Amino acid sequence: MRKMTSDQPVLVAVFLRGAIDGLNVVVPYGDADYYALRPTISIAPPGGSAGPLPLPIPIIGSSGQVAIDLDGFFGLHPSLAPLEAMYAAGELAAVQATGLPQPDRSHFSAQLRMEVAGGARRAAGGWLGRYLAVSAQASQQSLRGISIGVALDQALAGSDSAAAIANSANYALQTTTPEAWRTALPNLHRDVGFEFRGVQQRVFAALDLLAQARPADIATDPAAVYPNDALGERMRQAAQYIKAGMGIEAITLNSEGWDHHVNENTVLPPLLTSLGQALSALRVDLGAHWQRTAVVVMSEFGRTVNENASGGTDHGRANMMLALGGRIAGGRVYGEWPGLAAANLDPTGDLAVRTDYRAVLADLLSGHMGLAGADIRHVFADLPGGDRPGLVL
Amino acid sequence: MHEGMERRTLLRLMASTPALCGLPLLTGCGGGSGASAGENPGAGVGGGAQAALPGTDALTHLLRRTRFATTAADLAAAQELGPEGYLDSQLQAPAPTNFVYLQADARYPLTALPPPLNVVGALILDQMSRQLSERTLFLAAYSDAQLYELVVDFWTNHFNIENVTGNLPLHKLYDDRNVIRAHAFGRFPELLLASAQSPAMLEYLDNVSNVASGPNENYARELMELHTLGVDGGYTEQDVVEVARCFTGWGINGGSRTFQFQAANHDDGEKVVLGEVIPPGGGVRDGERVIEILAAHPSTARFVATKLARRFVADAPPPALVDAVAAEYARTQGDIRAMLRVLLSAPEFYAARNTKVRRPLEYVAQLLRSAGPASAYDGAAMFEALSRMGQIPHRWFPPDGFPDRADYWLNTAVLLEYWNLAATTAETSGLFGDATFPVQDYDASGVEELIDAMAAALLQRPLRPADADLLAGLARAALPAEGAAPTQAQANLVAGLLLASPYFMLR
Repeated sequence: MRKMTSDQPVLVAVFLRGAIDGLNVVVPYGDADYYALRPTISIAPPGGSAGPLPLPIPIIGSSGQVAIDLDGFFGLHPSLAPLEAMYAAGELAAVQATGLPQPDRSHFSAQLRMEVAGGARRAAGGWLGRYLAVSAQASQQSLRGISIGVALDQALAGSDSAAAIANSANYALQTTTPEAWRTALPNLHRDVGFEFRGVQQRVFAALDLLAQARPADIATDPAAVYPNDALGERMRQAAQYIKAGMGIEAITLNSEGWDHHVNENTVLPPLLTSLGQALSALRVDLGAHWQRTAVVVMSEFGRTVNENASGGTDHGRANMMLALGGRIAGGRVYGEWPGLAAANLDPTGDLAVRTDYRAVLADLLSGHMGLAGADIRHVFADLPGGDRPGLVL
Repeated sequence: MHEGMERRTLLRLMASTPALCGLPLLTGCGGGSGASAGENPGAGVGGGAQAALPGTDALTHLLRRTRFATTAADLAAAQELGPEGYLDSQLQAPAPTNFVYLQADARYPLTALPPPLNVVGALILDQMSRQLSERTLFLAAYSDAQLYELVVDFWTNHFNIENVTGNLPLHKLYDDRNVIRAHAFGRFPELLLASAQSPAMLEYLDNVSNVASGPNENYARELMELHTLGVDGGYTEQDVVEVARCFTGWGINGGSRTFQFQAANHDDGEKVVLGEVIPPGGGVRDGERVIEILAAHPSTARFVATKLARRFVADAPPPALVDAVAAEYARTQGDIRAMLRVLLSAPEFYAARNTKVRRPLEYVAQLLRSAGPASAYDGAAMFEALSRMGQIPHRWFPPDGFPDRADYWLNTAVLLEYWNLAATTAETSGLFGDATFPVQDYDASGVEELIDAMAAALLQRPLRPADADLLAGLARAALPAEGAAPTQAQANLVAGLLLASPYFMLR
């Protein structure tokens, strides 16, 4: 039976394009090697130079920035202060040293791998597209997944019930003769190859659903202050889709510009401020809907453990992920920490992956979205059984 | 350009015979299967994404693939030249005195005469960025050097640089002129070196920060992954490190804002790149040697050939054609025009009908050229349309360039934007109340004739009979004509739907 839209669980996947420097986001301030590897861009331990460790160099936070303590070992970048309360309330979990099962330091190849999530095998579509396909029998709805943007994210590819919508407020057919166009377009797009027919049908499905549910008319909670940027606008639209109760189960959206080869001390803080404000505003805006919402934040790979001469970091290996929501077992940093000592790094000298990122996603699909074990194996074909982090209450 | 009366004369000529039989090269006359002997519309190429629309004839196909935008007048001009003569004429770079380029300079003066950096403020940088993006669209739509503009677009994306951040709007002006346009029809190794020394590229991929004391790997990696070898082209993580060391000290002169090798920042130790030892003490020669090694590498020939074939033939190009183009790269040391000749003369090219879907820039450029002369061009409106479609020229921020596959662009966001731009273009009157597609231009005595004439003018291809019947029925039902002559409202409906259809979107 189809669940009522009012208690339909929903998953929001936020992709930080460009490879965020997870070591400066979920900061391993308890690992002394962190400070040795990053002489000018490190984030100081909570309390600043009065850190817990006897360090050879004075650390006023070489970046001038001081972490917010999470668990006595890891700290949050101070620009993510808007998330502190959510962590304290147990609604935000971090995962460290997570990533792709195989090394890949190309942005484009790694993003594709991560969104397809096929592991070593070829897989059709993306992980959320396969989720929608395998759970389709439970739903009669024609539109269940939305990419907020001008393109369908690869994660949602492979489903016939996913659509890309850049702005729900002006998603409308603008002809003066709509009836004639609605008759003609299905015929003109029939039997012409590519995905013309399917996409045409999904445009009409989206037009009809938006006309009925009118998510763009859903008021934003005045207490929810989204950042005045593209990410804030996308997050605000995500809240509208959820609050509209229109049966949307999966939403993907992106934040760009995380490839910090230079000047991390100046470019990272404003981006993190925006991210923190956007996630915090979403939580406020969703109100009671937060309970049925889970948000996962991911990026294609981590960055080098050591900084380069331009105050930045190059392409590395393991990264952090964030999971947020009313049913997330938060207030913890998950994942085995391999450490930053030279002997513990991966063969190219980067932070080693200890938690397959698919295990985090699988946790959310099973624990939050209620997907059965057999169906999880359909979504993530060769994900090893093993331990899952257990991110969902 | 063929405009005004010439356009009207052609339209009348084309409309005066049933369907499209007025043009000898067009197939599909008489409502038959749509393919004449020797024509093979869309068979066997493109990885299974086949269009079943009637094929275009060979010359029309050549034009659709070698141009952003084609009108009936362009087709008639090409018919006079024949396919080989047409291709010869298109393989010439435009003269700087070409009228459309002078028009572009006048419309976008900052792109014609960029001021020196020390008088450039933030406001003028914004204007430079905007002017270059609009100029690119203007030339795509109205230049008669159409293949040149398409190849410029190809290299612009191959060596992608966004023109928004920092000083990039200024530097990208020089890159567009002195790197991309200067070498678009030249030789790949020279283009590659010019790009490596382009201030825009040096800044965009952080090589200005790549110094011996702590190499920055950004340019080195993308140089191999995106510009030459390809991600599976056979380089290792250690090669990334070594190539980065070779390019340490490649920077920008603060005064002239041109390339400058800064020896003090260069790592002069020995390097090993793809197995070749680069001896110590090479200075600027290290980076130049890397360019030579990469340009001569078989993976580069294959990668460039694959991308060219994807651009001009099909999203999943035929392997034999990629082999042929890669072989031509090797034979000519990367002569771009020689590769284009092989590509655009191959049987696989002519077999690949309807195997590419227009990207937004191609869609908008074709719409503009179909809708009329450059004098009616509304750059601001088209800039906004491209913004909503996600393809403002020079505003793809990651270094891989705009995607060149239909599965990216053919989605629910872009398709609706195509429909809406088609509708508003066809239905909105111009400044003086004139229609975009005046019904009298088509000289049609009935709705069927109007549809045939509009298909010839706007699509240069016939409709499937069922589609033509459908449009005729809708035109009659929705907007009953007073008497036999078609009305402007009917012309608006037909034109809008043709421009919103896969007939128009498929190349």
